[in-house]
Amino acid sequence: MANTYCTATNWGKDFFTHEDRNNFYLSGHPGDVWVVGNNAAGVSWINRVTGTGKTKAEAQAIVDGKVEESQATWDALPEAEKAPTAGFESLTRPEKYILP
Amino acid sequence: MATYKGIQGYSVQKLTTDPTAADTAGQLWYNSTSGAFKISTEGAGTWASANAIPANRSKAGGCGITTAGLYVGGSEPTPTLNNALEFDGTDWTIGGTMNQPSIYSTFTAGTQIAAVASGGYSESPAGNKTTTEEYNGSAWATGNAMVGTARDGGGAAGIQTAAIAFAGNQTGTKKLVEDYDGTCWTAGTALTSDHGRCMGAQSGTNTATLCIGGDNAGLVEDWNGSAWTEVNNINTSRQFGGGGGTSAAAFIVGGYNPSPPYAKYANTETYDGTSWSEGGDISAAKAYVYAFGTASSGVIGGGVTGPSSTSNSVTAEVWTNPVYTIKTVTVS
Repeated sequence: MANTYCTATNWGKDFFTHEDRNNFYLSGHPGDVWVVGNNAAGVSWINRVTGTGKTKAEAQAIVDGKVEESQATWDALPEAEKAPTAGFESLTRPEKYILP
Repeated sequence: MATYKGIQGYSVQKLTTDPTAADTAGQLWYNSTSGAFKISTEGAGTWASANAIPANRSKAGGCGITTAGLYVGGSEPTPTLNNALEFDGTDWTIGGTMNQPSIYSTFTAGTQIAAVASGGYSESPAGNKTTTEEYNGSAWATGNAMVGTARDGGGAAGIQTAAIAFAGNQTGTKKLVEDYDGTCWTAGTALTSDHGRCMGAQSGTNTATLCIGGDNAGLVEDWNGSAWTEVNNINTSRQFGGGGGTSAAAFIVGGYNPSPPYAKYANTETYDGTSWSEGGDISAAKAYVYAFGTASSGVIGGGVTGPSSTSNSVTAEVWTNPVYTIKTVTVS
């Protein structure tokens, strides 16, 4: 398995370091979900940040839930704010995606 | 028994404490305190987490360096902001409040204690601006307006008394350039191509900077003080992301593809004066964000991390390139 999954709150400085980024894959997602390279350094990082291990399905469910919240927020916006604006084309209704 | 001196021709230093990693790249030593051989390695540039900005903010103009950076205005996403946000290398502090009620995507140049912010977009009244304000590290003063079409989201470089503003989103041509002498803006030499909301190398000078990407196919133009020259394109076409450095050494990060479906990016590209190379990613793709700093040390804070304006971010990350690390040598 190339990646492992956890939830952890980014506290800021030193939550992940330059050395961490050179030692394992790391990407952040909605709901404080982190996709972590499945090697010794990655597992050590999860322990260091007191991460809560998740299965991929569990992590995906958290992300999906957060995207659904964002969709609801988006849907409640006035139509004028949702209209495409030149230069801000990518501000569109959130869509679900698959974690790596 | 073979010895290191016998193999390599020189001895291994015995030290009681490790030296600074950046000063000893490629060197081996024996740490007599820990009883271990150590080596200093030079690794690729990466982004590390930094303390979060105080509140959601995107599209804030940026300038300065990693230990004294400045964001100007921005969007949270609505209403737009009109204050400065200062970074000291560790923490963020709210700075002076501008004279205009709201502004984002300004052309911003200078330092944390001597900056100029012009143009941009305001929500009240709505529309692009030509206004100029100067910052002295604590308060904003009104300056003379830009002379050309109101615009936002372009690049800027230089210092408060000698700055250049280029490209930006506006009606018609997107390759206008203006020069600032600390008092007045004058029309400068236009870019050769439209760029719109480019990825500005915010820390260049008014005689040496880059206009990177924008709403084109990743075009890059180099300004040498007298002419714009097209140089190698960035690898990933994008706009409205962060950048820092000079025309000889720069980085860009984040932004979004100018073509549908407008994908946002997390990847970094570094420039060595000739070509662009891939660098380490930020932890999550984000756009509508500026950066500040140099090719070796930069900062990116806030921005839009998700697919909509409802997903503004407070996260910040610090760029270091290269990364020096001391590692313990395992012998068996």
